[in-house]
Amino acid sequence: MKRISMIQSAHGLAGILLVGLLAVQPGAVTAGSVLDMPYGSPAGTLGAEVDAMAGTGAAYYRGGLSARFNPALLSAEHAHRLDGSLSLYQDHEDRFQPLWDSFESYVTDTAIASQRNHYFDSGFGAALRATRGLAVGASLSTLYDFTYDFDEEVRDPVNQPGSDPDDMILEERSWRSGGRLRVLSLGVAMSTPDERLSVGLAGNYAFGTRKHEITRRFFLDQDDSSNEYREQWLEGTNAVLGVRIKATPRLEIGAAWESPLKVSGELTEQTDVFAVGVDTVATSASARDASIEYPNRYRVGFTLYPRSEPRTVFTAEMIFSEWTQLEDSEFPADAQPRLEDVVDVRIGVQHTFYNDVPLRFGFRRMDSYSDHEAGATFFTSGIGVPWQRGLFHVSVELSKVTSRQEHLFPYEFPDDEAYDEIYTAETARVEDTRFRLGAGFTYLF
Amino acid sequence: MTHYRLPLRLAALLLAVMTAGGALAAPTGLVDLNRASVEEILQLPVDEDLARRIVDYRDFVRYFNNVYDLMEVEGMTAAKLAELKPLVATLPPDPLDASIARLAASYRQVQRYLGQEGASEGLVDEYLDMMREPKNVNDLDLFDLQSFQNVSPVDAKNILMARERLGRFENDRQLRRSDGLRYWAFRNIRDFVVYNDEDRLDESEQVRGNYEVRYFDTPYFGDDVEAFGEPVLTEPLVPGQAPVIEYPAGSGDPHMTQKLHLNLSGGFRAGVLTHRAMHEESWHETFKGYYGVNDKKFGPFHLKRLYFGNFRVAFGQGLVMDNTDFMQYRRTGFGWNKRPIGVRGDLSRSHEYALTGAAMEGKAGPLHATVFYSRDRKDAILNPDGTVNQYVTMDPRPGADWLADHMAFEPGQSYGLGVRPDTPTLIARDAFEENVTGGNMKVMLGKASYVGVTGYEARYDRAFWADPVTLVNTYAMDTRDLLEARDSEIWSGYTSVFADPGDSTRTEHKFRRVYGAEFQTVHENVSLQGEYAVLQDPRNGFLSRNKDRDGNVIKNPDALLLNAYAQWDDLHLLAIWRDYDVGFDNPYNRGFANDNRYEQTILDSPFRLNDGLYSYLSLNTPQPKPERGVFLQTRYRVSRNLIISGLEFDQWERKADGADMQRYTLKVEYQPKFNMRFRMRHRYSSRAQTNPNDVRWFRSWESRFEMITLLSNYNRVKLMYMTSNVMFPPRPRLGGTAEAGDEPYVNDGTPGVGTAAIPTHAFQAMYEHHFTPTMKLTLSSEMYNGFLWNFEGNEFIVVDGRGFRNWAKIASRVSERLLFQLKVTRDHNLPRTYFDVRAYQDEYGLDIENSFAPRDLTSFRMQMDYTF
Repeated sequence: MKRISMIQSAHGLAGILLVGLLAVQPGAVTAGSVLDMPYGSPAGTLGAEVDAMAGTGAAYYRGGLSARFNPALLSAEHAHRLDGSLSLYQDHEDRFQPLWDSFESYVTDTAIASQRNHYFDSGFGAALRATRGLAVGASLSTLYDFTYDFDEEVRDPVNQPGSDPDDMILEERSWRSGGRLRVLSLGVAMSTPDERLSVGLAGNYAFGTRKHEITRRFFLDQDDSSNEYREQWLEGTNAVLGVRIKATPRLEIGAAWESPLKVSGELTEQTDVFAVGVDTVATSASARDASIEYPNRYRVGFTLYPRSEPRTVFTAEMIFSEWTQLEDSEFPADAQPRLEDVVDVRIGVQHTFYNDVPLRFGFRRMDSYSDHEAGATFFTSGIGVPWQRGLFHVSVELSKVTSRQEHLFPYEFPDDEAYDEIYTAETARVEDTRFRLGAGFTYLF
Repeated sequence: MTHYRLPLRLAALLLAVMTAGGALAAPTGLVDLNRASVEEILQLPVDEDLARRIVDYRDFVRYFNNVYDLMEVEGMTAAKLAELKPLVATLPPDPLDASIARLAASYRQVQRYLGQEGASEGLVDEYLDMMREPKNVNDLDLFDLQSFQNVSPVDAKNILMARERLGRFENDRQLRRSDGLRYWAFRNIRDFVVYNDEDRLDESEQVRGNYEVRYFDTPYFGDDVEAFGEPVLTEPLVPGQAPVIEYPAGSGDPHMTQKLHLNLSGGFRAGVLTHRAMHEESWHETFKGYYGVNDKKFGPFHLKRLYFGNFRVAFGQGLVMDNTDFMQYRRTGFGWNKRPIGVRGDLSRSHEYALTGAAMEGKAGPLHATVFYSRDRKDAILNPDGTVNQYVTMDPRPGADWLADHMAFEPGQSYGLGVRPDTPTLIARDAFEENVTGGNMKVMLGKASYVGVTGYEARYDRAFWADPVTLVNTYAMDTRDLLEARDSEIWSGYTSVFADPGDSTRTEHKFRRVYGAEFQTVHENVSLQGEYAVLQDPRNGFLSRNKDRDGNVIKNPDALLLNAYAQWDDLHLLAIWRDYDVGFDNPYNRGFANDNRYEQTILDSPFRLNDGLYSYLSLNTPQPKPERGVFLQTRYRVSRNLIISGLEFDQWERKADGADMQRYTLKVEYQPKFNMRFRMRHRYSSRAQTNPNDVRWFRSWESRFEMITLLSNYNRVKLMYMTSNVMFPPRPRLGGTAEAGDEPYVNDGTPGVGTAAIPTHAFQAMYEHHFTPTMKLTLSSEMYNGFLWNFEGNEFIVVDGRGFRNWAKIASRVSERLLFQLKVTRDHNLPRTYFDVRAYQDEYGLDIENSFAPRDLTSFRMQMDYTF
């Protein structure tokens, strides 16, 4: 909160941002596949307008949020603009195992675990034109989030008459990741008098926490139940350098480089070990400093303004993130996590109808840094409704990730011959589906 | 509303094309709003804001067709317009690139072509090519004309005769008036032709082309999942041990195709394709390209096409050569089912039967000739002795590392339900080299009559041996009642290894020769076509026959197809006779057939094979099934409102076992009013019982009713109801009283209680809204219980089970050059399971009570096409 106070006293504009920040402070934010939990999901919301066009912004002006995408685009601001947005979403995850018939023919997948959770997120931006050829902007949004929840209970699959109750619960398990890395961006852009070339620079201040908690509670045997908790404060800065080129009146090209972001802070760990039905019998806790250095990110895209009725914008971009370069101080230098570089392709279209109502849709495909076969696909759409000097935005997004994963918890059964014939496959097919609903407002003044 | 002025826009485009090249100037003193800068407009009595809005509207919305269009500009008033009227002009805008304009004008047709996949890919590329760069109809020969959809040999001959009579066609009307040319055929030509060389664009210096990307992650449905789309078990199902589940080619990676097609100056063409089928590892798993030239004349010799790289060739009725990985059932060569005769550059997704090398097609006088050479490595199932068992089309194609691991599986290990593979898995990428040399020569005997010969010789670095022991597991091989006569398609495959049982001599031939003859003749309104093809037994000479060890003359397997076609204005009749030997195993045969080779054989059952992946043979082999029978088809336009759009009758015998098969189809379309249309389709098909124990006979019918209503110019509703049933005898082996651990297939004589019918009901409601003439939203809901196939826009889908399927699609022509389509589908599905389903962790015999496991599937599809 100390940091926020500094912002509050700094500028009136930041005060508005603070309102937004406080509005979302208690809540969880984006979530998704567990594959993205170690270092956060890069699929957080930015704003309903942006989300409706698949998150595009490398070459298309997004108000103050352009400070995050490509600060050079701030030069497109000719007055003052304020953006704010909230999104609600539902993450649904099914874990499947294959089912064969008696002829060894694969029939279908059958779900062995199903999760449904709801979260919310927010994004804010402000931009103003200072003088001719100079514009500034600021934004507050989520850079990475770590939220993922998984709960399951294991019931006794061996129905032994006269012994245990049918389907007796053997174990309860939960996996909870949480926290987020928010980023406050301040950007400035300058352009040539004819505005054909603009350059921009933004500074990012990232802050947030990363939490992880694993709980196992056993019922049948006298195995020890446990709770492992881990929390880390993350804080750091980096910069974004961007360029905008108006190649023709119909074509704009944008490119940006985001420097590595090193976030560090105190990491605390605590483990509680329980016995069935009694209180804590053992606790261990530790604290130390730790850091993560997020890698370079490059964005390049273009926006096309064709002669079209209705008036149309088409924008496409590619983001390349060097996740192979990530450094985590928790691992030795020669044994860093083996991640994949990520290509993220986004395409957005906007048609503006005669009553100034924009209809937007978009497509996005993003690889996963944890598993190259587990890319996410997004379908987005949205609409804008003009009101006075502003525009209300509504967006919907549907996305899916399919992956093969080892089980979060091993399927272990009591050491008894009755359970000998029970075995499971080592991996499950996991489908994560997200439905996101966003609402936002842009005010021009 | 002014937003729906398509006719005006098209008129403006047409005017633009007509005025191309001529510089226009406004009358002295007037400001041309379609060209003026902001500064020039400011000389008029307008303020700067309005001037900027006028220019903005012109640049980013549309050109002004007339001065009254100024009222569309924000801030314009009637008084201001009256003031401006005498001062401004709206001259025709700068012409768009004429070829872009042609595509834009045919937007819907282009969308339809771009959505087509499979065996028609080669022709679709050419149609798009000709749509933007039409050919001079006065230069087209018989084969060019016959390649257009719905243009029959009779139509082609009538066009040639009319052209000869007139000297040349000068315009549409003359072409339309050709005696005997049906309107239906004319409609399918007119968009692709011009009448003067001056109107042709393909000689321009400008590079033109199009780039297409197609992406989707729609999962496999139906039978496909059994073999590859979903996991396969590769290690023993021994209680206490975890089964190892493998995905043939990874998981999750979506299908993605990219295609770049270039029209270079001087008639040169180039193209590149990358393709990854779903689950394949690399985005360029299939990588193809070509460079070539069309239509060059050297004195009397006309070089029609010369291509280097990947090319497509097809001749006659496809019995000798038609190289595609895709089987198109009942491909007649008429109507919409054209075969791309001759040479084309190949940017199709075909991989296994792609040809790589050079091909040339040309003509001189009455001679029309094609030669080609290809050298490539092909995927195959090998035998343990290193010979090739079969070509195999792997789709998806597993990675080399995965296959290497897979092939390392030790033979002799127990596998699954007591089944013992005696051979290691031997399915491999690039397993053998194939060198193909071939050609075709036709001699014209009249306007539309010719005779021709076709042949090719393939040389390999391995011999062939269609040994079923490699494919089918020992249990099935030993249990004679599991292998039946219909499975003779497997062991009748091409074999070029011969061993003398008396001694150890073994003769290997590493080639395959296929050759044949074709003809076509047209008389009045009747055409006759035919092709006869021979697969040379490797023990025979090219044109001579030898005797086998028993003294019998060795027969060369052959194939014959004859067709007769007659047409009138509103009616046509087509009859096809085909007879293919079981031993006619020509990998490039794509002749007319109802089924593909190996379908309905034991290869349909992955659990009977030494490896489930061998089911690729029954799923993907594009060769026709050996059949003998007659196919009759007609289309009759009874009146303006009522069309019998298809009446088909097919009666044939499956050659492998003599099973009688039937298939009858009736399609009717009735349009009582302009805004309402009804369609009905009914099909009946059956397979006769071949022996008392045959459990493979079936009877099946399917009826489909559609009602399409235009609620307004921008809203369309379609309702569809489908019902069908498949009936077959109960399978007694499913009624056995197997206990845990028993041999599962024992028929203990218990009366059959297995499934006896698969009834289906399905209902679809679809709503389509056009926001503008170039932007469309489609919403659809389908409820189904049973087996359903359907077209969803351009996508063909098959679902099975009980489900509720919803999809939404947005298609937008973002600009004249760019099409963008997005579709999202949500399918809640209860798969059909038929019989005792076992949970993955149960040993055999422990049925689970609830045999349905629901699953929700979300899938996405994106397609983008950019023309330049």
